[in-house]
Amino acid sequence: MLTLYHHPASPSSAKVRFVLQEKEIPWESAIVDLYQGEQFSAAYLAINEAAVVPTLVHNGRPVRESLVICEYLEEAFPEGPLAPADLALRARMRVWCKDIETFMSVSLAGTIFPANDRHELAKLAPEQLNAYFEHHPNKRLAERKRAWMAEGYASPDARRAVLTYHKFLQKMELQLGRSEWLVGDSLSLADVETAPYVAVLELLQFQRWWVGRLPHVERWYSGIKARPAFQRAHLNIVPDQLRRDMAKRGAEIWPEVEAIIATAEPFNGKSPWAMRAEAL
Amino acid sequence: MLTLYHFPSSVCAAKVRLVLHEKELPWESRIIEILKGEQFQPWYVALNPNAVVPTLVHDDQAIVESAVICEYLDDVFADPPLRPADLVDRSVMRIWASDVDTYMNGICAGITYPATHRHEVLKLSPEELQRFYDGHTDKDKLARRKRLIEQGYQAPDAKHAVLVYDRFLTKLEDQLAKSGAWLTGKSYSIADAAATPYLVRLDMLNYQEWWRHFRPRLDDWYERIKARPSFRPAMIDVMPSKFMADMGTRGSGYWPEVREILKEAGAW
Repeated sequence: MLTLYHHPASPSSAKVRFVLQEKEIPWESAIVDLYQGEQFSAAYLAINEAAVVPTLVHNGRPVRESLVICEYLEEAFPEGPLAPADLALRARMRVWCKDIETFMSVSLAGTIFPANDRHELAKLAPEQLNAYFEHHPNKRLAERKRAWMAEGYASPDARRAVLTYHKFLQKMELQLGRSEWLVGDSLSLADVETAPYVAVLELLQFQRWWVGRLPHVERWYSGIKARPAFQRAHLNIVPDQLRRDMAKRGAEIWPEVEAIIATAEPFNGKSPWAMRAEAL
Repeated sequence: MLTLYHFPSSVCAAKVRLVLHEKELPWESRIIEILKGEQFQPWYVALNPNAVVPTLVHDDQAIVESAVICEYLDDVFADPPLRPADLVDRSVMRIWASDVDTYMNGICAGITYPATHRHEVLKLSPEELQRFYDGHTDKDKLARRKRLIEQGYQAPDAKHAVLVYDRFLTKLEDQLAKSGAWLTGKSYSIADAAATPYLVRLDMLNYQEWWRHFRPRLDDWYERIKARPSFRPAMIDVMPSKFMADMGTRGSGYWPEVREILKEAGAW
């Protein structure tokens, strides 16, 4: 029995749902309401002490961290493989996934929070909001979130996140000019890990970031969207109200994002594999 | 044919050497002089675009990222397995291996630079020093390095590193209380290999009191790690003896300063 604790708009949850759907594994859904701080409840902390989604519970045992969960599912349910059989290529897949975990999850927070999450948190009563920040186990991230709430994209930290995101999209463009999928010629966990990072921008109506500008990313993302598994895992799961809110908030704030992108240094285009050296 | 591009005192490279020796694989050693900036040479960047050690070259394929290299070696040379057969245990192993990379790698520099590397870098001629600084592509990292080189353990980054290291030792002790003999699962795994260089670092600096004082399980684990046949060739024989000796002598002199930082923070 598989239960996934997740959230409809969380990209790391979407990765795991994508794998579950690609492999057609039956699973039970347990939504953790992040905007209400449900991730800090004692019941959830018992299965995930870092208070983040997703958590997969398989036959009563929790598995944490989206990337680790995806590798777990790949090994526990090998049918419909999402890892290349070629082992050197599989290593590249892991490097790509690791880069996303290390650099993009932080940049994602800084890019999305000022556009969307801060409006959700602003709905909380002052004492609920205080509790949210007090319960946050990652004090540094909590401080950054406070700054994003107060200053939006004017926070230097959020600006840096947008620029790192921008660099990442260009690296994708470079890599996707070399291979059909991010690693090799079939869909792998590298694509699964990456897709939600693009999809969440689309929910915010930020498509102009790549449409008409990054043709390989555009081609790749159309291929992703055409997959029924991705539609079930991501596109169809976001509640209508949240979808409308995100679209509206994103469209309003896009000019601010575009202004930050305009300040980016020209991309040197050397290697899609130098994220660590070049992340901002 | 396996060639490892590495550096004796790099913790990430050490982890890969441990895995190579645990599996008794023959490999060729190529030292990259990271304190002299050899990692920034174009031929090396072509192998490793992030300009870091280690890189494993296996039959002309370059494999990068120490955690990925360890899994690659276990994929290709399955015997003896260094990943738990139980897949949930394996997931815990992956979290450990990845957390060590993410949180401890920079921290390790924070405790080592003030005691030793700093003295090596300060021996460079002004031109060599400039070249060393210029080679850094990551400007934040460069600023941190400079502070560590100039201010030693009194640099705020160094004090922070000491406290994070202390919490890491506690985390290891707690994990061993839960898991038993090895960090994740019933037998030695990549997680144990990943943690080993961090204890070796303290050992070489003569900071043994740091774990022996409070952490009996960790002490016992480390004694068993040292008794494994992989330990000596991967961790000790590869170190230049003068470097080892300098590290020990210099470290002994700094331990009281480190302990003072722990006391100030209420961690001792």
